[in-house]
Amino acid sequence: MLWCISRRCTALRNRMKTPKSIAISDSANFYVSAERVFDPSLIGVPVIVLSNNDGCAIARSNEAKSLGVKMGAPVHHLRDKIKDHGIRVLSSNYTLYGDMSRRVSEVYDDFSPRVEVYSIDECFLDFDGFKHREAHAKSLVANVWQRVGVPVRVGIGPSKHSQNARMSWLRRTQFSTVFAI
Amino acid sequence: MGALAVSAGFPSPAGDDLEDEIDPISWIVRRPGSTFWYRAEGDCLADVGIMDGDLIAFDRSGKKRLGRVMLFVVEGALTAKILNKRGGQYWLDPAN
Repeated sequence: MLWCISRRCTALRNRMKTPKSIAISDSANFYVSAERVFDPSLIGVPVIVLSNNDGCAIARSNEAKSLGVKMGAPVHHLRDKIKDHGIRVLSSNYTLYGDMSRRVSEVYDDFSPRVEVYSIDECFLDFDGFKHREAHAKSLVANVWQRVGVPVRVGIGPSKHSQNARMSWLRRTQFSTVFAI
Repeated sequence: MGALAVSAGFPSPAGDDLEDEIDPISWIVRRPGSTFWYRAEGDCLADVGIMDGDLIAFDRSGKKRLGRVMLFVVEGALTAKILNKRGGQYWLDPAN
């Protein structure tokens, strides 16, 4: 009986010593970033990507966000702002975004044995048992940038749930690159 | 569905030796994930065999090397040129 309790304590202590580690990687302003790979004149300027039928803004560059363009803003509300600030407006190209998303996931496959594609621009990567996780994540970011041309940010933590909260925080604060707890 | 005897001829003697179809693209593209295709405009790389309208594959993960045709961003536009170094400075050279 005592032997059983001590075995379970050891197992519990081992789990606490090496907690599960999951990284979430998300691409900043993904549709805009994908477009920028093919048209560098979009870099550093306010850009928005419109939904099907060119209805609303479904992606905004940081410069467009700074001008107050809200996610989902109907384009007819934005006409003056577009004219006054020279905002570049693009129709969506889902074939392109899907292909770029696939390329990004392929890079992730080089950095983790288990990659879960969560959405077109977010993936969970199993970092369990990895040493030097922040350095690994920084290398991942650099690799995606070099090989695909899209900027990504990585959050590292013990669970997927905490990751989503972390990524919401990351997006709102426009924190760059790697964030770990 | 009933059992029906269907004659299918005799097995091909080459059945064990079939290989994939020839795919010349795979000979050019070493890393498909980082390779992007562009169409050349103009003749400024004609001397290295790249003509107007040609399809060029660029590998973003390729090594930067002098004398190589590479894709550059110059004043917001993409341009394909050869990277050279003269007098301690880098130059983007055409080839025509």
